[in-house]
Amino acid sequence: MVYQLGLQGKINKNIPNTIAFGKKEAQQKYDKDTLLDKELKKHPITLPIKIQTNKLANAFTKYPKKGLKGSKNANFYEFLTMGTVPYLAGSAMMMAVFNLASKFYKNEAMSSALKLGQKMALGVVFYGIGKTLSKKFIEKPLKWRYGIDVNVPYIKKIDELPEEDNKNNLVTYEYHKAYESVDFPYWNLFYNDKGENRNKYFADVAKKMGLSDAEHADQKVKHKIREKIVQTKTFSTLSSYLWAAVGVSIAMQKPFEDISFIPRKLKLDYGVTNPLKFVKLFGEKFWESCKSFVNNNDKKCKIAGRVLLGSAILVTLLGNFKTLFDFNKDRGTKSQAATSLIDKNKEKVVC
Amino acid sequence: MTNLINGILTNNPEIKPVASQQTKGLNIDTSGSVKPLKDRGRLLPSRIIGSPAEYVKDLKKDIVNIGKASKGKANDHELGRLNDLAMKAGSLALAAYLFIKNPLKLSKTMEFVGFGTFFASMALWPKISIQAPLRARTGVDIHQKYIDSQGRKKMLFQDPQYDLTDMYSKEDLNRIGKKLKVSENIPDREKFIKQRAKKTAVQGNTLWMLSAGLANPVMSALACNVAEKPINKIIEQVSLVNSEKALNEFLNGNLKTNKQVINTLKELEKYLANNADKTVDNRLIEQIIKLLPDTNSVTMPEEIKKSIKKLADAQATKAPLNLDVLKSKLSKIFPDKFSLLTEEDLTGSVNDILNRIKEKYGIVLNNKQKNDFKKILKQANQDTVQPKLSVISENIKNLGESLGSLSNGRKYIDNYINARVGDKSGTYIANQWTKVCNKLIKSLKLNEKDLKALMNGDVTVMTSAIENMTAGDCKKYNKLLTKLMSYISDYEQKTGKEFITAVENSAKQVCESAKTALNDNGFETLAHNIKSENAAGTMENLINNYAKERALGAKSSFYRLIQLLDLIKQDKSGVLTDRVKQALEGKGKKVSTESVHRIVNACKKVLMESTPTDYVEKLTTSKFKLDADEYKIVMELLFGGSEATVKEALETTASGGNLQRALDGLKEYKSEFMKKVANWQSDMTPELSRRTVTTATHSMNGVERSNLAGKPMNEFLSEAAEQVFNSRKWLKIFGGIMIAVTAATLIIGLTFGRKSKAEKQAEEESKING
Repeated sequence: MVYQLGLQGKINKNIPNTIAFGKKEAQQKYDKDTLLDKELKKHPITLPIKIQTNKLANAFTKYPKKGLKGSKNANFYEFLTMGTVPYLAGSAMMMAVFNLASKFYKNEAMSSALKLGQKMALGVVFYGIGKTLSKKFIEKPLKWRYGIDVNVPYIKKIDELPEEDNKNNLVTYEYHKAYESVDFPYWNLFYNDKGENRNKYFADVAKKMGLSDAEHADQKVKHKIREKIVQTKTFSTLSSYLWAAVGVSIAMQKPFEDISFIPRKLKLDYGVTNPLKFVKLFGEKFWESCKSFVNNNDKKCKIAGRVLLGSAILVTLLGNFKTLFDFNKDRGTKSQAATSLIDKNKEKVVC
Repeated sequence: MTNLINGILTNNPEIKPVASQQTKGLNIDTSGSVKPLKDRGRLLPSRIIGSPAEYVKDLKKDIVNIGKASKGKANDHELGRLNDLAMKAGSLALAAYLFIKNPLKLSKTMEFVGFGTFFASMALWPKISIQAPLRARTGVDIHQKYIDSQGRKKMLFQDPQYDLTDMYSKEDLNRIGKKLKVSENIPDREKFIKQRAKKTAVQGNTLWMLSAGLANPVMSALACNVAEKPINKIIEQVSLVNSEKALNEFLNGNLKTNKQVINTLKELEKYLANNADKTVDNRLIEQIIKLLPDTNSVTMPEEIKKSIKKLADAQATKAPLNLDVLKSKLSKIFPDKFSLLTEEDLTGSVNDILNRIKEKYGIVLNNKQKNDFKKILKQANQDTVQPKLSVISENIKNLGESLGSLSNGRKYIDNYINARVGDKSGTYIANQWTKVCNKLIKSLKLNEKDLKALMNGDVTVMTSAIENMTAGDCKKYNKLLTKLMSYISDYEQKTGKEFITAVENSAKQVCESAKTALNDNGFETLAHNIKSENAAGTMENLINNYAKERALGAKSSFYRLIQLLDLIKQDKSGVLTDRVKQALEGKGKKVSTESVHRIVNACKKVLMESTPTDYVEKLTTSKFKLDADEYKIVMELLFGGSEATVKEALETTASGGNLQRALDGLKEYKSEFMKKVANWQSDMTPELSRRTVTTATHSMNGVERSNLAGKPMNEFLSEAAEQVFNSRKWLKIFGGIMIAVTAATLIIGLTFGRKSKAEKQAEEESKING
């Protein structure tokens, strides 16, 4: 038996397309789980920033407090959100390992320690940038081609259980992604209220996929969407670590030894007196480092650099190829759904 | 993954049968096909360290899952594992790139060691600082794994809202309950135990997230720091053995030419064939030089260029007379009638030509015009045409082969030399230098303030520390001196006469062979540059000198250090004062406290500060202010005496007979120094000393003198102190951080799993109600 889970048809039409930030505001606007696609469309830059800021603040304050207490309301979302703590603390510590002691050194030891420390710190930054940005190379084309946004957020309302020190303030909000689970995508959020347009999201995706049966669009494309989400996650994950490696490798090139991040040194050694000049100098060094990475004087190093960059590009392109083209159009048809998706002879998992 | 179902259920308790629209048209009877799976999940044995076989099995599974996931068939669990795998693969790719990029063997190796320690720290930190202590205290393994009905390995307490504590057996629950001190004989005891176990796991996992970022990088860096020393030793030993073996095999003719040389020669041959029709000019020669095997010499390319040019010039032919050009030049002298000249008219001697043109065309030239005419004709006759590349290609090919053989030989010799005395980190000489410095500074037991003072050149810190060591039975001093002499003995063995002879023989064999081959192919000048009996700058000499100079430089500094330690001890015990008095009396000089004090101080100062130039100037500069006799006394005291005081201090039984090698070395060093540096003619001037100087007894140049003098001990000590200070400082900061993070984690962990007031109350109520 398939069950419909309660939310369907209950989306509050009165929710304005503005961003709710902070609990009070969220309480006023969201009385249930709500997809933030419209808000995202209206605020494509500020909404993700606000969500990330909110999550980050909670990761360092609210969730550790709950977790260390062993709260019965602590959940896996909070545990995962706290995962940013080791990432950020680890990055800072990694930079510190190579930089903190060098100020006690003198002369040549200090200079060489600073050079290495600077490159390592840049490596940490470029690792993060490479890893984060590269995912967009695969996620964005999928969105443009089929309208599937793997990162589309929704706000989740949680009614917590009363605890010793909190018996009344039991509503909290979490920012999730509708497609964060490939086992349980939050399909219900994608249905419109009622009427003809109920299936609109799925119909639009189906149309973009070349399927025209609007009536059963949801049944037809859900599996295809799930497939695309799995492929996108697979290739964006695989490529992201290669791009991160490319980022670190660029930071490790010699040109980055000829720059400083200490204002006094910048002024004395490089004549940099304002931020604009620094950006220009940094840009020059970055470009020289990129060139050194792919065209190093050392032949082995040149080949290694090109192989690393080539593999990152290749995995990204393969990801685009797999996610943007459909090689099994028949999979979504009625007959196939009936035969392969629900096979009477096979066991099915019921959670 | 967030437990969506739970969340949805919490918010929306209403569960309705699905709207008909969703299944409309499919007409599938699902009532009999969808049923719960059989309960096949079970807990896995609780281990701190997983088995490697399991790891390999899981890795294999993960790799297979990538294929499935790329087709869009993967679940959350598989995608989560894929992320871990991708992170390791990306890091491995980065380590491989940095391995290739780094020129030094130690740095190369450390890239992979860093990769390994980082992931090992990530895995070990929560286990040793949270999981194990909590399990020991509360019985709860916060990373308890289970295998679900689909065969997926997961963490039991991953999602606190997804309660799987039913998987615990009664025995397990009793064991945990006992450790968590859950009241006995209460109804629902298991429920209380499960709640407390879950609570403990949530606390432990939170602490893991909070502490990992601080601990992992530091733990990894500390592990690398610890691993660096033994790895460096292994690399050093492998390089020493391999380089010697390879050189011997090469010299015995058992090794073929390496691939790089073969490929270079192939490229050269291809270039010669493709450009056979081209004229040999400077550009072409430059291109050929780039394609010739590298002989690791700065001067060789220029010499090769000259030789090829010479070879090409020898093959140049006379250019055919270009009548039009000649006529145009001549028309500038006497414009009208030169246009009528034929080639025949311009053959023969100048006088014949002048007579001919006078008779035939009536051209009469004045003296100036005659001279200009002669010049133009001479120039025209001298014009040559450089040969095509094909003319000399065979010679170039032979040159390439000769240089290839030389390059191949040099590679083995250079590897042999560099493994021992190479000017880079990770070599034997560098490691031995570090060992001596570390041993010395650590034995002095200096605190941070004293280390800083020594770094800044305050050597009194060191002298007073040594003086303290020489007090009483001198045990500490003897131990230090014995250890240092054992390092030097080992150094003597690996870089001493045998090493120099091996280098000389190898260089002779390789250069001799190259010389013969080059001579046979007409490259005599090049052959001369590689090996010649009476030339100083040949390649053979350069190879030999490099090995000798590198070995001598460090050796001299080591012996200078031993002399300094010995001198401080002699001074402290009063032996030095007696020797100074005797020396002054021997020279017929007045013995006074002042003069003795001055000589003693000069001896110390010489070892501490003197540079090669100071010796040349007989220590007469304001720094020393010695007269000729005092200079001789100081030199004799330092370099003329016996090694008895050093020998006395050695714990001979501790290091066996090996120390005798170092004692012999010290004796030889002092004798050489006395002969070649300390005993110079009194009229030697700094200007003269900068050139190669020949005296009655020896011949030496500035580099040799500098190497024999070694490093001034104030510089040596300052650098050694700096090295120790830097590594101690780093260790202090990050060791401190690691201790603080570990202590904080352990202390916080102690508060986990405890009964809260409400829990106590609930248990009490349960007891009463039950």
